[in-house]
Amino acid sequence: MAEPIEVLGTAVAVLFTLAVYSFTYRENPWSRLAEHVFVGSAVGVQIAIDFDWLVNKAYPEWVGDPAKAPFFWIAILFGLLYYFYFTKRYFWLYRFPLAVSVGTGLGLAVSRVVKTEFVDQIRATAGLAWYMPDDPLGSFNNFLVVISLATVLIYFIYSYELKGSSRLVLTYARWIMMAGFGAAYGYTVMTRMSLFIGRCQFLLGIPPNPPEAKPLFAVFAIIILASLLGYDYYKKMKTTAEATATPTSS
Amino acid sequence: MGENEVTIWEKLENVDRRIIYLLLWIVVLAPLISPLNLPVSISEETKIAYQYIENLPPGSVVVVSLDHSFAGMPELYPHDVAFLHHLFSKPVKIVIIAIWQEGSLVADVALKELAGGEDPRTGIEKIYGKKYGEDWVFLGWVPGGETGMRVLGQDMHTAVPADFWGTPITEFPMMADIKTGEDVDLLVTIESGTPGAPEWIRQWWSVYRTPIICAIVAVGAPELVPARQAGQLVALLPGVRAAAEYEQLIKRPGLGTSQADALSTSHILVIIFVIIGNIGYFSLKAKGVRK
Repeated sequence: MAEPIEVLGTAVAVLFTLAVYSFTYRENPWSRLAEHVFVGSAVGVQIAIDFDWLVNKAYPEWVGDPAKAPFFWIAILFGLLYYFYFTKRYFWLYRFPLAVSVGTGLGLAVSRVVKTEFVDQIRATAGLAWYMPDDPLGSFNNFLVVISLATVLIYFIYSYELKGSSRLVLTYARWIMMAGFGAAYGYTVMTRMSLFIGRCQFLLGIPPNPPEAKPLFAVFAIIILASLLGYDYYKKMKTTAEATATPTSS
Repeated sequence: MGENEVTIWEKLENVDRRIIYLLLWIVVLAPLISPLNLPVSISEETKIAYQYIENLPPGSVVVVSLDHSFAGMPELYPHDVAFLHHLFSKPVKIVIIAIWQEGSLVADVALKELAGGEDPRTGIEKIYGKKYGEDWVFLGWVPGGETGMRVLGQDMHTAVPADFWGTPITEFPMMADIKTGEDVDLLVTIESGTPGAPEWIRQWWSVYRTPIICAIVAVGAPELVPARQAGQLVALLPGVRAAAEYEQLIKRPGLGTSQADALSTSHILVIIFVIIGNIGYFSLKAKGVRK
């Protein structure tokens, strides 16, 4: 038997899941409430985790060691400078931590991006075997990869215009890119559907989701649907009554 | 037939979107309530990931990084549970971390599920025989994103001074021999965005040549295919479909498997919409309604 606090948590989750999906009917106060609460709570959770890490992990480790302590306080000071973002007069102070953060991040990333996302991948493509006696489909696949790569690169050369039959290269490149976009879209559909199905699994209480969600799903669905349909019906009746009461000028 | 008569295709073009949403609710809820048990074929990529873990020598060190938030759970939680279950069943040392803040909380949920609802530190030992601190540790969130990955690779003890529950890392016997990225034999990243696999590749694969298995939300998979082809990833497992396959391989059907039917029916519905949309488009074009 679940604890009352767990049931309450499940009820809130069911209510907010349905409130968000009520947007599919139309934008309404339920969906707006869910959006605002989500944004606020998501930020709150992240701040809480940050603070917990600082107090319970970083502080004892760094301040406990006299050799390390100054670095901890310098980091804290730098972190606090971020808050000068909110002042016009001292806004320039905010640029210091930002510069360190951006500089470190860029330095770390750029030094390896060229190798991992450029050189290594060119090398791997250049090393593809075009002819593998035991794997004709693999050979064809590798051939397609190399040809497609070359034609798509040609497609984006703007300083020289291809004319006549050589434009077939551009047509092929466009088709290949369309195929790529199609595959990406297919994966996008899969992700969106998975997110929806995941919430449906929760609403139906499919294990390991809490079983209490299922009856709550029915209750909250009826409440939200009734409120939306009821309000629309009320508005429609009101409009009809006003139209009937207003004399037409002709 | 009058000139102004609206054809079926024009009606379909202007169909109320709420009807489409209603159909989607039906095709998703129906197979979840009454499963169709459609077969799940297992892709080569999932087999490679499974076999790689199966072939790990006893005592290997595996880092599992849950690089996603609660929002990614519908698609990635089945991966979290499946990989952790598989690894807990093998004679390897496991270090669980999260580069995303909420990832540490997701890991806590997954570990509790695997521990049968108990405190993972005792529950995992009862179920899998893995002793906390000797066979596995849960270090929680590693701050700093890509910078955090770099520091973790250089010196884990500096990057994470204590575990998720606040116990100093120096108190765990297994961590005495696990200090840098060089001590790690496999990295499993279950991710939904930045920081994720590209950052791991930059900071771990390119430096320590650490083999990486990546499970990712399907929408992010196309971006990582070149990395897989370049050999920077051991295997790339996109979306819940791959999770369902992995659950079949480890013989532990879970949320991934139960999503499979609904995923198939929802995809069929989308395909039908696309076909109807295309027929309508070309019909109206043929009639001169569209240019």
